[in-house]
Formats: sequence, C-alpha cells, structure tokens
Amino acid sequence: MQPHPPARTKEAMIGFFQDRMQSGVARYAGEKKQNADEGAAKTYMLETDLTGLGDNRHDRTLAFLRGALAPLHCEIQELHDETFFLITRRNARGEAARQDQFYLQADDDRFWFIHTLAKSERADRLHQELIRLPKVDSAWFPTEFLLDLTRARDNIFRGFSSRFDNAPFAQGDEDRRAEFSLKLWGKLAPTVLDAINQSDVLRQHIAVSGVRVHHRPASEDMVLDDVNCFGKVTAFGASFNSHYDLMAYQLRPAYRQTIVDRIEGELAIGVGDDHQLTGAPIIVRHYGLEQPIEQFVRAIFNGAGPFRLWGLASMILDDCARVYAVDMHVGHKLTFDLSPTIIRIELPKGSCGNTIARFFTLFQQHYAANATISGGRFDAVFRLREDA
Amino acid sequence: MDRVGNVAMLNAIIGRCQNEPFVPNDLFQLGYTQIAIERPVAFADGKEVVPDLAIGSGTLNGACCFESKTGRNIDAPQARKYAQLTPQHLERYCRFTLDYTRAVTVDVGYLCPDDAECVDGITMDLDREGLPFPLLPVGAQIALARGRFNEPQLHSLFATRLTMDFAKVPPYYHFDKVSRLFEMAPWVVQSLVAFAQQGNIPFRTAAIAADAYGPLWHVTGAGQQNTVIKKTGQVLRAAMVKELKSFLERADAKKTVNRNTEWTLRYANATGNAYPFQRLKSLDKACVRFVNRLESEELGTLPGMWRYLFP
Repeated sequence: MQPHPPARTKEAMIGFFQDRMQSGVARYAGEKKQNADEGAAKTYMLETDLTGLGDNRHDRTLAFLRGALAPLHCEIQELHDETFFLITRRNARGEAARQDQFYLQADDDRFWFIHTLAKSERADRLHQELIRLPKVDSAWFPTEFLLDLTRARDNIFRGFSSRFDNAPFAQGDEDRRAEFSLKLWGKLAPTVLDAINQSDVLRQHIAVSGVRVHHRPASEDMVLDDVNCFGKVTAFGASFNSHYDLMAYQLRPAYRQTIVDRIEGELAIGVGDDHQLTGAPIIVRHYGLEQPIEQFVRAIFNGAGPFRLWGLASMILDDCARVYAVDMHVGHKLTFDLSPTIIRIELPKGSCGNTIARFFTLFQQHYAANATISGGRFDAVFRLREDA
Repeated sequence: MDRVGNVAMLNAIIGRCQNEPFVPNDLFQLGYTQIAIERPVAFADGKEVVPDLAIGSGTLNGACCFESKTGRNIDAPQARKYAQLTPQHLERYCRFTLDYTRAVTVDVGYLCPDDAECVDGITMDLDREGLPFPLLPVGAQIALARGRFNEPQLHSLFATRLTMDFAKVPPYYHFDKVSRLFEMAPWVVQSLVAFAQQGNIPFRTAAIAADAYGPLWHVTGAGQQNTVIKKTGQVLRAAMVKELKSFLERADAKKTVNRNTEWTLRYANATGNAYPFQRLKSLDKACVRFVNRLESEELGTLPGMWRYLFP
C-alpha cells in the first residue's frame, strides 16, 4: 500500500494524527478487540547539537539529515514549515512501507520531536539508529522527573513500568546479576509505588522506567500517554492534540529548563566576566559499591554502551578514583570523582548537559534505582519546573 | 605526603567555599564564596596586584585575598601593594558589595607548602617588610603559622588546625605552569580524545593547552599561558615518541614543537558512526602506560605502579 500523502505543515500533521487516532478508537469500539500498538501515535524526543554546521537552521538540519540518514535507506522530504521534515523509510527494494513515515519537528533547535504512527518495533529501530549518530541523543528522564510529571498540572497518574538490569556491573558474575521488570497500569499504581518506596531493598532495585499519565482529563477526547525514560512517548486514545500539548508545552519545556538552564547554565563550571568561578559540582549519591571501585569504574567508563563514556581513570585513594572522561557521543569532557557512595561530576561550561541526564538515568536503571542527584542550589536536579 | 603545589592549595580554599561532598565546607558555612580568581586590582599610581584568589562573605561583611607561594620568598613590591588594599578596591574589581553600616574587614593571606624552608623564608620576608599578613602552611593540615586575620571568625577558623585530604580536593585548577608533565598529561589526553571524537582535527598545541587547562584559561595571564602551551607541547612530544606513537601524528615534519604545531589523534573512524572499540581499547592502554611512565620518570618511582587504571 502506498504511504499517505504527507502533511505539509505541523498543524496539518496534528490534524492527520488526530483523525487517525480517533478512527483507531472507533474501529476498536466496533471490533471489540485491541491491538495496543494500532493507531497509537509515538513521539520521540531527541537531543541534538548541530552547532558549527552553519547558521541557517533549515539548511543545516537538512544537510545533517541527508548526510546521516542516507545510509539508513531514509528519504528526507522538505515540508512547508522550514523546520519540519518528513522521513520516509524505504525497504531494500526502495519501497516505502505504509506507515513508516516519520515527521521530524526541529522547531526547537536543541530538542527535536519525531512523530509517527509506525509500529513500535519499526519506530524504535529508527530511533536507535538515529541516536547512534554523532550529535544526536535521546532525551533521558530519570525516575524523579517521570514521577514529577505524574504530579504536574493537568496530569493524572495512571500507571508505571519499571526495569532494572545490572548486567553492565555484573559482567562475568552471574551470582550478582539482578534483572527485574514490572508494568502496572490502573488506579492502584500509585498505591503500589508507595508500598515499594517503603522498602529499602525494593527502592534500590525498582527504577521507574516509564509512567502512564492521563493528560488534560477535562478534555473531551481521552488520551493516555506512556512516557518512557529514553524519551519515547506513546499516546493511546483519541486525542493527538492532548498528546501534543503534553509533549510541546509540558515535557519539552521542563526538560529544556533542566538541561539548558540548570545543568548547562547554572551548574556547569566556568568563569564569569568578573573572573568569578561559576557553577557547582553535580553530586550523585547512592547506596554503595557492590564490587571493588576499579571494576565499578571500568563498567562505566569503557567507552561502550550503555553509558558511552570513555575515561582515563586514576586511583586517588584506595577507595576513590578520578576519571578524566569524554562523552563518546558528542566528544565533550567531564571529570568524575568517585567514592564508595558519592559521585562528584564536574561539567565544564560548553559541555553537553544531556550527558548528565543519560548517565544518571542509566545509573538508576542499571545500578542504583534510588540514587539521587543534586548540585548547587538544587536538592534534586531533575525536577519539573514549579509551575509545570 | 607529596609537597602541595599552588594548584592544590588554591583548589583547597575554593573547595572549602563550595558545598563540596569531599572537602570540609567550613568557609562555606561562614558565608564565604570565591569572588574572583586572578583578577587584577589597580591602584591610583597605575600599579596593580593580581591576587590568586579572593573570597568574600556577605554574612561576615568581609573579603580575603589569597596569594600562594611555593618558593621561599615573597615578591616585596607586591606585598606592599597588598597592604594598600581597601574594601573599595575589592568592590570595584571583584564586584563584591560590602555593607558600610556595619564593620567591614579586608584580609590578605599567604599560602605556602608546609615545609620549613618555605615557612621560614616567607615569615622572614613578611617580618622584614613589617607586614602583618597571616601565613597558612598547607600540608596534611592547614595551620596558621604567623599573623592574624582581621575577620575574627576567619581567624578562629584558621587558628585551629584544619584537616585536608588533598587527594580529594576538587580540580577547579587542573594544573599550572609549575605542574609536572605527568600532572598535566591526563588532562591533555582527555582533551585529545574529546577533540578527536568531535571530529575537530587537526588541533593545535595552543588549543589543546587551553582546553586541558580548563575554564580558568581565560583569566590566566599571558605568561602562565605561554608556559602552559610550551609544556603541553612537551607532553605531546613525549606521548608521540613512545606510547602514543601509533595514534598521535604531527601534520609537519619539523623537529620543533610550537604553539601552532598541528596534531591528529587517529583512532575513530571517519564517519564517527561506529566506534572501533578494539582500537579504542588499545588507545586506553597506551594512555595509561604513557601517564604512568611520565609519573615514574618525574617522581623517580618504579614504572607500572598502576595508579592509572585500564578502563
């Protein structure tokens, strides 16, 4: 089947997605059967840094997309809005699959959206391929950020998912391997989460990897949004408008404020015009080490996934290490001081704050679900803004 | 313990002004924060002094400049200028507001390594000039050796022996012009890898030096910058000759290394789409061997102490 003719503008895309979601719900009501993925809109939030690729936003975005996506059998189409593009995935025979259309919305220079109705498997595949590119990363939402979202205005908490896998830290030691996954939807979810939080052992191993929120409960068409810790938000229901409102007016501003204003603006270490040192170290506190610090350091700073951090590690004391690290994703520098219960991170001015979000989210998902992060005047760095 | 250098002394004071997890925050508790680093203060006669560090406390309504010395002498004209320092100077040059309806204090403190020759030499120089400045020898402890601070609470703090674990001092200053090559090497290696990963090659000695030096580069004087660039060249040359020979290349064949010499670190593939991890692992090991060798050569210790870990 031929792909749908593209929406030329963002507004047209919203209308098109709205229609598709409503017809999906109507079909579900008629057929009395549900394919969870059918008709569900997905939006992925990406973090990008195209500085140095030219001043014209449209041209540099297009040039980057063409260069980066050509090997992935993707066709880039310019649309009416200058920061709005259609990515069409073609198969090996050059045919476009019916739903493999991805709208890339780059109106925010730093945090892009990719909207699609494609099935999760195929959409996730493209997302994975995109974030392997240099200069592109996922948005990363740590536990407290996700839980804050459930408490924000216009949102009702409808469930959560949890995943924990300490594989990166337990390599070669199957006895220490811990894996856990849980999905809980419904009105009892907050109660269960409260119960989990009462137990130190469970809190240590149950990182919230996603939440389900009912956004804009007063609106006519209902939508439930599953917000995943790696920046994917899946909308179930009949209102793409509500889903878009959540993404564009709640999630992205809050994330932008955390990464750009707090981490890169206030916490990154620099020197002001008056020769004053600005910024503050970022502090991660966790329950302690389960292995010698050398192994702990190697698990994080080996240059490979999931952390994608490289580092030259120096033992400054028997139980403390300093790591001269580089984020392999963007080639920015950070310095880590690691002790058995505290990780102190110094992010130089100009380095990417998303590295902190990625490190901390993955640290929660793979090592200490109850780790906390603070810095400067912020007791918790990843909080939604107060008025969200 | 190893003799404490300028970098560690200044980092220790800055660290104590921050709410740092690894160093005591006693100065922070007194309301002190660093207000200027290497900020020139000009006097009416056209001369100036450049305190290494100035800290100020709104709570105590006072400021203190620190001058760190690693030798046995002070710069007498500089010390005499410090004696002329007024609150107005600090307000004007360090953008620090004082409340003149209350008592205002301005202090100048000297920092030096805790070794007898330094302490005695600086004490004699300050006595000779008739200057009352306090002297703080810095070692495993920070202890007041002479003088007193005008601010009573600051004096009380330094009059007690403050403990300091220098291994844990935060690296605000990465290194300075008198740092040894092995102390600079990890920062240089980090910058090389970062530049290469950004696809920002080739890179010049001066750019590597600035990046490795860190955020304080822009407030550092030209003399310090030139020495740091020169020493960065020495680090790179040492790296290229031995351990990093197969990774680090020079764009020209000249024998001398200067600030404009271009370097290339080759380990990433050209597209940057995939990391050649085997190559990266070899680079890791080469970097570790390199820093270890420099350290053993400069400190006279046995090579292969494995202070630096294979990632």
